Amino acid sequence: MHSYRVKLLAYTLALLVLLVASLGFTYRYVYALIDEEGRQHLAAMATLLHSHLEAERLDDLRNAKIVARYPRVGEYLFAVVEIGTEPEPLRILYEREFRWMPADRFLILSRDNRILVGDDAADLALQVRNARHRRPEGTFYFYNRRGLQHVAYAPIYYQNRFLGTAAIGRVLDRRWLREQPQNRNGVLFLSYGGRIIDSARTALAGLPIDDGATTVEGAAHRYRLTRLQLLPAVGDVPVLWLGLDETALRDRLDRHRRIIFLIAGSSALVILLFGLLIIRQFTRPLSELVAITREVAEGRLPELPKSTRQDEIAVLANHFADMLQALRRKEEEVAQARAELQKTATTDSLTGLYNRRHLGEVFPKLLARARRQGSSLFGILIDLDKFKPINDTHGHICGDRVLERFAARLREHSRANDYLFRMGGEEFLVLTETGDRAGVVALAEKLRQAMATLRVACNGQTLGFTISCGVSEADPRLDTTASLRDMLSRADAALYRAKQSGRNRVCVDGEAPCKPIEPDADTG
Amino acid sequence: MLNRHPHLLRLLLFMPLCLVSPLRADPADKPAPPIVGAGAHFAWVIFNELKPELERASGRHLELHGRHSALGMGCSAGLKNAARHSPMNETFGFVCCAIDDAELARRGLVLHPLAREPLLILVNAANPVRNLGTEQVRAIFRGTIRNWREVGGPDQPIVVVTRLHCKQRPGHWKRILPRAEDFRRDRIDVASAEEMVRKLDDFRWAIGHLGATWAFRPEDRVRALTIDGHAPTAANLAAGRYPFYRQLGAVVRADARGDVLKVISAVEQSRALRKVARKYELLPLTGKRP
Repeated sequence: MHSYRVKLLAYTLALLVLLVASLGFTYRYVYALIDEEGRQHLAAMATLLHSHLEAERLDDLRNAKIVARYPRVGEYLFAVVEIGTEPEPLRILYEREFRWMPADRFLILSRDNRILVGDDAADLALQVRNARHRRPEGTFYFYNRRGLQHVAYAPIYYQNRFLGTAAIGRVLDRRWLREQPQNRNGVLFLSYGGRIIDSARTALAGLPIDDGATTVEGAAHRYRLTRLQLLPAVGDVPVLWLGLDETALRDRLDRHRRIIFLIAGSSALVILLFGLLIIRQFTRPLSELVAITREVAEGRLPELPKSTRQDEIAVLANHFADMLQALRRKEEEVAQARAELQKTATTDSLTGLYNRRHLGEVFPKLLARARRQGSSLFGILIDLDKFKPINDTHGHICGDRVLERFAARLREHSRANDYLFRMGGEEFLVLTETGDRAGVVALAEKLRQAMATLRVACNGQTLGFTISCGVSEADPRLDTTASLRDMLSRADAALYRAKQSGRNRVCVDGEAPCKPIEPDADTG
Repeated sequence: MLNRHPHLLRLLLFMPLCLVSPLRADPADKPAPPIVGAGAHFAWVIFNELKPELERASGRHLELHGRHSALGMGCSAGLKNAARHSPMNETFGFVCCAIDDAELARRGLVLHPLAREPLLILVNAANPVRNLGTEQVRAIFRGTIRNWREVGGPDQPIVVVTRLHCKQRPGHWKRILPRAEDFRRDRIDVASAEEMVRKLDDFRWAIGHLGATWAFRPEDRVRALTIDGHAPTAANLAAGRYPFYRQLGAVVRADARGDVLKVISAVEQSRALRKVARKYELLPLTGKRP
């Protein structure tokens, strides 16, 4: 039974483990899914940003070309470069015509490297001068004390003569970082020399970072990183990073985990309850069956109430109850048969009194009890006087009837705790336990008198008879067998004396003479 | 029978009335299309100033194009517009050049000279030079004089700004130098009068030329020089003291008839033209000289 319950419990636990494992797998799968989604999101953002950077680059180049190809610029530059007039009109023209351009720095560099338009633009002019040696027009990134800058430049021609270069520059500062498409979970920042120098979120500025970093942490946020190329670059330029805030990702995962834990907990509870219910449903009837079989094995046949259920265990229990009922009936029959047999073995079939064999069984018990209680066990040996003539004269049927009536009268006048035996033929024994020897003698006398007045009708005649009694006390010092033999022997001797004394009298062992016959008594 | 059927009589009398019903439209009632004039800004100014008077004289609405020579307007546009003339679509053109007879004949047009316009020699208002000699002007535009210092000004290079349009026609800037090749090569050649003003405004040491009828704005920082001590006025033109000028006129198809000729005739005979001439220092070439 325990193993069965353990198995059920094991199955339930296995189910729980399976559930937790599947939910764990689900969590891992969701984690992987969200992780992959984050990766793809970052890649998509990087692609978008790349496109945006490229679009900005081309926008800058287009704006530089707009400046360079604007006819008045050529004319004005011509006036400055070829005619040698002052560059102020060029600056005025620039202010008037190109103030709208989304640029932080402007430069018109003459072909002889004079800065004609552009305040404090020596650094920009140097870079443009070098760049236009490589290509007449183009874009590049460079970095100096002003920060990271993107520059686009284009040549200015007038009347097919190269006069100079128009350049526009944008400083890629924090404002620029914030304006880039990076959505709410993303962040752009610049690193240089192993340290974040500027960021769309101030919390990241100043944090250390190496070139191969994949994540960076700051201000309770963790960012997954991808590196964006700033090309073409002149000299050593900062690295542009795009970070995707993993905190939001983690929050989502935590939310998933909490949901999964909730599902797992509630499911486990439900499974456990179902498991316990199943265990209870299966094991209780089985336990009852096992207990009953144990009782049966121990020799008892308990009552097993029948179940109204129709499941297999209930049907089995009902069958078992039927079987127990049948066994009980059989046992009762056996007990009855045994009782009958016992009765037959221990009683005399004619008189219903115990037979001599039963005397051997009960005597030790009675003697032992007498010993325990400090009393004595007395035997009254009774013999019907002149019984043989009754048989011979009136037949055995009448003799048997006399014996039956004798036994009935004996039962009537003996005490409830007295044992009555037919020792054989017309000889009987009364065993009585008492401490009163005189009482025993009185009992014997009472029996003698009762028998003397008894009349038995047989074959139209009325028969009477008397009895002779020999009384002796069992010797408790002897063992039971010897004591019985001794008691019977001495009772028989007393009986013999009563017979010898004239019958119809009571003789007590060790006392002489025998008790005389009462005057009203008949003789047998 | 008619006496016995008065209704029939009335019916017979009514039928001829139906034939002359006013339900039929009269073509004369349809409004006439406007007479369209187009061309150079400088002659447009004259027609635009006289427009109400000309419309009264011709009984037609006038539609004039040419302000600031915008939308591709110019002498060539004036010639093309005049050539498009038809009885149902009457047109004429404005020109700022003295179109020669050969071109007029080739195009089937007739030129009606209206006025002579001084050609202003303009400099930036900040330029201290106030007067140049005729030859100095020519030398500057030729490039033989390249610094204001040479004409009494500051030591600054001279930026020459030109608008050498109508190159195949006589007059105009050719009063300065007869051929485009004669102008200095390192000059700024602009495409419009407006751009000319803008350049002269921007470059303090520039010099350019422009017709007197140009509508200068108050904020334009340009100034006209006197030439040989003579201002660009109609009087100096009439006296031959101011050397640079051009001819403004109108062109119509040679076979043109009708109201467009009334318009041209009204301009030529208008007293109001005198008023316009005084306003822009023009020398009228029709009727009595002012």
